[in-house]
Amino acid sequence: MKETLFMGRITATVTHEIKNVLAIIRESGGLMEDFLNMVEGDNFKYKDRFHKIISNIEDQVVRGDAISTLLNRFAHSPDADVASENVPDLLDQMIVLSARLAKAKEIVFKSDKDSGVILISSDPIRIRMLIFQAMDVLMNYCKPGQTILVNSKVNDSKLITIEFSVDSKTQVLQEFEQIILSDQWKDLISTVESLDSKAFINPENGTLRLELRSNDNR
Amino acid sequence: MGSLKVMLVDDEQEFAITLAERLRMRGIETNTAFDGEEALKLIVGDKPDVVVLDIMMPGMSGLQVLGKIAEIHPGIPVILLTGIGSTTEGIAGMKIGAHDYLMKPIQIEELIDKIRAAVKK
Repeated sequence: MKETLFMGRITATVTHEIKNVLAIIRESGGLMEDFLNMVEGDNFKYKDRFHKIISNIEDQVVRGDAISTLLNRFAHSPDADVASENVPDLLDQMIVLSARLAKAKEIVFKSDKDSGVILISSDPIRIRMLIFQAMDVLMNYCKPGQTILVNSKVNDSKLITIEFSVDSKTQVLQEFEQIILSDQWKDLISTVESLDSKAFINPENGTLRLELRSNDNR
Repeated sequence: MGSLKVMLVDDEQEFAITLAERLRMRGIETNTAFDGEEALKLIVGDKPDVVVLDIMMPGMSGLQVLGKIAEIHPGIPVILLTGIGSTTEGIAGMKIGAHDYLMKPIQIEELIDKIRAAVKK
């Protein structure tokens, strides 16, 4: 646990530094734009190109800010043994932080933006690890170009379900049957059982489902 | 807006210098300090209308500087800047007297809105 806290603390500190770097980049781009706006008429033939470049800089600041904010939250996850968190936020966090891995596999994860607030009280590290393990196994067994829809819901018994479903289901049957035999799936099952929860794979409709019980509902 | 005087305190010198220049271009007289001690010395002799203060600085932290400012010039509104990806530090600062807080990287329009709101209070 001390080791995890150490990793988290260093990572959180670095995200703070990244915010400072982004702040300098944003103000520098902003100052360039301020000067550019002082140029009257057509006195500078590259004015439009400069505006576009400055706009690109701002877009990347926004992108970097979002990543570093989510990485900061991720880094703070070892701070408590149990935490109450919003499941859709956790999914967004893990999707953004795993985007580079997914891109390398040419897989796209899309979360449902209309899930509302679904609170779960659980081990903050294990729940993140479980979500990542589900994404990781899908990245390895889905085909490049596939999109995986991720949604979460809670039923009347307060059972929380996270479902990953592959869009082009006709191609996944064979690959999904192999998942259950993989070491990755065994690792996922180990994690899900440590959370007193369950995981299911359905090769016929191309879904991976996690059924989670909140600590305050066991 | 031309008569507004702001003290910007941040150990990230490039950030402070650049932001100060942008604020001046918008008619806000802006002085900079790069640590808490320097800021307090400047504030004693030249009272600003608003202080914009980074929380995480070497030496005196932003929250310590906030306390000292309140002793020197009670009532000066202080807007805190935090680079931390949570609101915890900003809220802690507001509990001990800060007017408001912003998370880096800031939007200059939002900062100016908060400066105006702080002066009106």
